[in-house]
Amino acid sequence: MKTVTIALAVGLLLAGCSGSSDDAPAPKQTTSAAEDQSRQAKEQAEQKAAADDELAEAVGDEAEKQRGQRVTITIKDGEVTPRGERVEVKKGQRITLLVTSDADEEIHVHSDPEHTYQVKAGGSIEKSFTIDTPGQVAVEAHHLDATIVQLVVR
Amino acid sequence: MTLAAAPTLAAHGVGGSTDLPIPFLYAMVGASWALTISFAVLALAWRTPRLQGSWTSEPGRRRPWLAVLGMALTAWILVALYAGPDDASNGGLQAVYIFVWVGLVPLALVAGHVWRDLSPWRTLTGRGRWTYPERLGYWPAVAGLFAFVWLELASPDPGSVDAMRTWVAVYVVAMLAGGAAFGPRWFDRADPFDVYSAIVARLSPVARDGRLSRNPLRGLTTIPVGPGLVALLAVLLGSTAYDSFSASPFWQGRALSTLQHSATLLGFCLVVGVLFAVAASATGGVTREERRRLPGLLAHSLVPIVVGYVFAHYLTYLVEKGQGAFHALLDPLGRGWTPLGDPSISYVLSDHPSMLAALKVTFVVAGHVLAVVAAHDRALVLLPRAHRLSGQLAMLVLMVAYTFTGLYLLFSV
Repeated sequence: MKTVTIALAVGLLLAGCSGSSDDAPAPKQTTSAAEDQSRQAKEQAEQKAAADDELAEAVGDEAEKQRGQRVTITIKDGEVTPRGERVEVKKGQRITLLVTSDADEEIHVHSDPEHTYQVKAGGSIEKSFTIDTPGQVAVEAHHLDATIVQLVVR
Repeated sequence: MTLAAAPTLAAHGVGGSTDLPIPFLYAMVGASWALTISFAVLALAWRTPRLQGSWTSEPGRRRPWLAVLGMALTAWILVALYAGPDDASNGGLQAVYIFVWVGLVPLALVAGHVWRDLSPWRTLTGRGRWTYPERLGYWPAVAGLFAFVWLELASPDPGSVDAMRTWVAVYVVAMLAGGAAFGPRWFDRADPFDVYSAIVARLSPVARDGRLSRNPLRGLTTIPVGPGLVALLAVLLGSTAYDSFSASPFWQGRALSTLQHSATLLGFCLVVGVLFAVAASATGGVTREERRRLPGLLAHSLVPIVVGYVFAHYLTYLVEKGQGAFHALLDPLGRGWTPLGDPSISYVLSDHPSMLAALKVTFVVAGHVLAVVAAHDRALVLLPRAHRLSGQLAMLVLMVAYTFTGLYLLFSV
């Protein structure tokens, strides 16, 4: 029993180590009022800068979402490119598939709800959708029985 | 709009999205825990066996209300499967892939081997005419399980309702015929789902009579050893690993035939099983006959690894796709019935990827720790005193390798 306790203790110790690294540093103690004031001013400035950054980032996100992720797909001589590749997208981001094919093909997007797009031989299609649940969604060429891309939605 | 599920990546037979890879940090934390605890057990743990169960009592009577429930549920699923729609929206198809195949594991873990009470095939067959040939052991169940994972993972179209109808028809005929011939023993050894449930249930704190809480590790040691037991666990673990692997860009980037998929699936199961048999018998100081029996006698220790990995792999599938299957079953004939209102799915796990990743790592590591402890304790019983440490080493290393592979697959695919 003693040995089990030791093993557990070792385990807990390890847990403690990994946990503590995440802790935020404790705020520094200040003494004089003047110092206090200047610190407050500095903090406010920092907060404003951080808010500006966030705003910029949000605008950037929005722009990226609007621009969306485009995937160009070519089906030729019974081969599809790309094949089995990972494509990173954000949830809610607009995803556009540009498909050119030399044969009748059916493109499946295995999201919820599913999307099915038909492309005629010699034709091309452009289809957009969004995915709101994190996960991996396969886009497949049904007749070729091939995974074109795997959308990695984060 | 057609909803016919496409082949190959209609992963697990029921299509839809799959989990995100777990973050690298989570995999590393899990791996370091597994490694540390493994060697802590080997170096510091007890020196006399203390987790051996003795559980020879005959199983109790099957509970009639569960038998009735089992008949009703089976009838419901069969009606949905054979009379429902011919596409992936078929409730029976989803129910078999999700509730029977995956739901069986948490059910057995939480409630014990209630499958035995529920089994309609046990209800419909009598005491049997002949004695089950014990030299067959679990092999008929191994064949059944492999046939199922083949249908799910390597067949040309896992989402095909007709393929499932054929599989289930063959299964039902085999169960009824075998049950009529050999009686209940047939289900204890040959029904893939019944056997799977019975084995997982030994890890349940609930004993067979449904009362009593007991130490799951003690329960685990009472799994009846028979020919094919290692193969059975190898099929379960190997196929789950293959399922992860087959979704990798490496594998998806290749155009492969059904035969190549099938051979790879079989290869995964073989590698898992053969490595286990080799590691289990890698000790000195035993006779040839004793060595031959070691893999079977250590097989129970593989069960927590299987259960942990199956949980990690199939959790979202069960919880989220399960909701879809439930709604599909409420509309068994595909008439658009929604008796419980809006059949939309709540993505409770997928919407919280960090929590999901943490859960998955926890399942894998917990299974690993239980497995290492179980193997250590059984080794103390089986191995001669002089080889107790060295004789366990190969098994420990193999278990670490299984767990690392599992975490790697969760991280990379």
